[in-house]
Amino acid sequence: MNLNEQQIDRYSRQIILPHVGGKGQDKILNAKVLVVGTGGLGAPSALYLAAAGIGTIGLVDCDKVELNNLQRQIIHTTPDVGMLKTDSGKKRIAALNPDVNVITHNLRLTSKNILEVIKDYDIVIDGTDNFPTRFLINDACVMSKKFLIHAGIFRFDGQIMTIAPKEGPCYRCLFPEPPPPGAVPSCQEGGILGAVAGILGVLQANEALKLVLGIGEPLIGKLLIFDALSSSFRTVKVPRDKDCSVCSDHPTITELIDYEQFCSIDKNK
Amino acid sequence: MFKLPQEVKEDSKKYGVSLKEFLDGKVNDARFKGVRVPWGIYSHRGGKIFMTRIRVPAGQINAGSLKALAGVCAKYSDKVAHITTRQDIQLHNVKIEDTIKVIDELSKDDLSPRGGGGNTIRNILACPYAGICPDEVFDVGAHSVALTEYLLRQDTSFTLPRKLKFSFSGCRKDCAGVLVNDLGFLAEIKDSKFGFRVFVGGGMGAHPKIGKLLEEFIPEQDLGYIAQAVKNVFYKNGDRRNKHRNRLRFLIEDIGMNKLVELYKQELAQLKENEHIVLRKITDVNKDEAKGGIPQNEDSDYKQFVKYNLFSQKQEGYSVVSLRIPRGNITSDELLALADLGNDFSQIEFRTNSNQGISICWVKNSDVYNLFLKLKDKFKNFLYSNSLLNVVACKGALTCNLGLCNSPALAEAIEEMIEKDFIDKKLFKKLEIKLNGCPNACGHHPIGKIALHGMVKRVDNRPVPFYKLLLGGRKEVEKTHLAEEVGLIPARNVVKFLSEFLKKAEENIDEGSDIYEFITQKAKTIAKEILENYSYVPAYSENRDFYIDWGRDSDFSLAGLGTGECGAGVLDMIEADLSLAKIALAQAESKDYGLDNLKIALFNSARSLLVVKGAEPKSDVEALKDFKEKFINASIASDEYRDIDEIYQGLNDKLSLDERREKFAYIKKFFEHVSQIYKDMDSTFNFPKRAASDTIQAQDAPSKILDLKGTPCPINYVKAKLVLEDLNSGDILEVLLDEGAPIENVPRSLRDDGHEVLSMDKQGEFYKVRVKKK
Repeated sequence: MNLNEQQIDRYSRQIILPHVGGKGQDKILNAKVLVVGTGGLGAPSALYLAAAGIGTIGLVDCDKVELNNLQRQIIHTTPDVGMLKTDSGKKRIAALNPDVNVITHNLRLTSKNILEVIKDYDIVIDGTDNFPTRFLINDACVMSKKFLIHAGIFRFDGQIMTIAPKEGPCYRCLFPEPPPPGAVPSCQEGGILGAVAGILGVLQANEALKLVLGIGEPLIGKLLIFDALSSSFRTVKVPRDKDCSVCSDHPTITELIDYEQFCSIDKNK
Repeated sequence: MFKLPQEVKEDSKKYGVSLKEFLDGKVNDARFKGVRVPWGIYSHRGGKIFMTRIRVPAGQINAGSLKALAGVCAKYSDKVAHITTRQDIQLHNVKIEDTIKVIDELSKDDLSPRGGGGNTIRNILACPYAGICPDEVFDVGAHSVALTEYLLRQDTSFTLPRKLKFSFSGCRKDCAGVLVNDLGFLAEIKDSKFGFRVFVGGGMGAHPKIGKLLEEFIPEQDLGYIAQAVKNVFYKNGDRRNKHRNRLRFLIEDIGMNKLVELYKQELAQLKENEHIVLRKITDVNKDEAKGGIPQNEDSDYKQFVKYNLFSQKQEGYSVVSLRIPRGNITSDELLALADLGNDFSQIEFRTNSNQGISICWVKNSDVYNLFLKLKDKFKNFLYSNSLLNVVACKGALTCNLGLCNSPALAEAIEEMIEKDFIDKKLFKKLEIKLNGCPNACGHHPIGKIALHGMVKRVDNRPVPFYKLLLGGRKEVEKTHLAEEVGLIPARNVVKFLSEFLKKAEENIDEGSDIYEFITQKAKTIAKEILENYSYVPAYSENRDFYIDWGRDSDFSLAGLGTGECGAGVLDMIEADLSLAKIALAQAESKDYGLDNLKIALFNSARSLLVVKGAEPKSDVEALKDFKEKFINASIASDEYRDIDEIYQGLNDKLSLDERREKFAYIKKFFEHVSQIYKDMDSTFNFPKRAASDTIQAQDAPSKILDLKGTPCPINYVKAKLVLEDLNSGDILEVLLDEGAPIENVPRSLRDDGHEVLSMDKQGEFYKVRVKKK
């Protein structure tokens, strides 16, 4: 692919970078990334990916924009309240970068549809806010060998890990089972500082770009933990669980599971 | 005095870079080993901490350098330095990250561990009393130092097939053992001209050999030519692959002495025709005139000191004081105390010797008693140098990867026994004991009158520390003789055996007799008789002591024993990479042609040979680029691998199993191709060229012209970068740039990317810039 004049100008500051160049930009323009959830994590993540020129971005969400979302979900704007989040996201990305082809998936991921949704993407970014979906995405990515960039946020803390199935640990190597419903407060109950969501979402975009470019060291087998109050990061090594129920050589989970939805994402519909 | 060549100082920066990459995890242990070992940095047993071997050319060191060494020893090591039989001084328990500080701080005082290990020109020996010895023909210290400076300037001195050891003796007493070094120079005078008799191919180690005569006489001004010629012959013909049989002496064994002499003569003739080799002339510092005799005193220690530690210099009024340093181990405080003697006795210099001791030279006779008092204040066991009590011992199994027995602890026990029973006896000055923890000869056992080297025997299904007894070793030019094997002694019995043997020896020698008469005629029989009583090892349940080595509490074990690092070098780095590639290929084949394994195999195959070309790629991308440039463009590797970097980039998880299998086949073929190139590499790291092909292109014509007039920064640079990406390495791009910011910035940025800016020509209001792609 040859970059046109506008593209050379638009992406000049990253083409200049060592290890990016025209070939790297080509890779970015040809990459396909799925962002699950256009909320606190997905919103900044999708914006940075779009700005960098990721060729195809899929957006998954079944909610509509609410006023309380705007404190952190910066892909949506005030006039968008009431609109489908996927449509709002698509509109904003189109305004930011016409190079990007946005595919909207206005649905909730389930064991029935997830494999079909993710099959055309190279990388999946998990921006969900509940455990059942998180485990579902993990299992589906392991089974279809897709890179998955997990992040989670709660109040003033966040964590992120990149999952390269079979190469490094998966989410279940870290947490074998979801917590029982109600054991962990959701964002609605616990609250979240918008900037924390932004930091983790942007880190997810950064991981995705590194994977696309094949540069640096992705957070494979490393859980990066952010503490906003002390403004500190630390990295914890996560080994692969050789008995992991999904990613080990002798998995016990071979079919996808829909855990009970306990985070009331449908409440306000 | 020795001056550390600028080249070595420059090289240390490269070591610093490699060390940093290693610490950052960018370079693996096997590769870094190939870098550090030629810098005299060896791992201790266990591989976590390190020994740094500082070379002391001719064993000569002045007070200032000694002080610097004391400081570095205190700061970065376990505060106990070790003097080696090769006149080096080792620092122990150094952290790997501190090795660069040791190198940098010492280089200010002209000390360096460069060539202290690995396949290099090792420390060049000279008589410890060169320049001051009454018996010497002339001062060979200066030659040893000048030759060191000359050889350390050459990169090839650090990539030899195996180590190369030189020595200089000033007279036929042969302090430096010219027949037990790879190349030995003996001072002689012919037709009133200074020169050397030259010997080649000697050496100790586990397979010792006595050197052969190479030249009857060479004038001293030919020294550099002769050394260079022998080095070149070894460099070009030595077997780099067989690490256990590749010293110069084995080359001579393989090709014959006649062939070696022929090669040497050819090399020498070429050097004389093409090179002008002049070694630095090192002149003595003038010393004050001194007169007078040695002061008398009734102190009994002083009397022994005068008897055993003091020797007259050839210069009137001066003495040399030789200190015994038990097992060569000297603390940083003691080193500092020695250096500080320079404040009180201003002209003194120091010499290390192959008995692991230190001598103080240029002591005015009138100062001897005062010096003695100062020494007595700071040192415990310095009396009786060059005596039976001066047991030579290597560092042994506590630190050394190759060590079997804990030789220093045994040496200490032997010394206690000797101190109690044998001081001042007839044999006290005539006999010597050399001790080694394993069959390698750091403790110089092949030339020991009484020598022992460690070994292991299995008794009662358990390993038992043993020593092999050898007798009759001697270094004395043509009379040089290797110690002969007598029998085996369990380590536990060595002290008792020696005590009995020495008593018998004392009965059998006279004050005036030649000790070698006893050693060669009677000693073996006596030793064998005594051995019969000491060779039995009781069962473990009966007496556990035999199963415990000297200085240890627990049962003897070989835990931690590893392969030596001494030969680590370029070839090990290549082989480490090729073996990683091979393993990855095998794994890929057995496991669905996994991307990671394919990448590892391709990257390591491409990187393996780059070390020979001096390339140290920092990333996988760089390695593939370097390979293209240095092997494919240079017509060494086949052109069919021109797109390896694209193949590498294309290794992503979009590939189907069939596609990955295809890539695997390509990478495997590439690996085999590289392995073949490695096999074809000759001993001087040269590769046969492939037949000239279409790779040769017109040198001058640019592959592309890019007109960037009117294009602002940084878009002009971005466009140039994009065009360059599509060119092949070595292609030339002609860029037209505006004056001002564009011409100031763009060429610089392209250079930063590694491209070569060939020319910048002003053409009116713009510039024509020619860039060669990296």
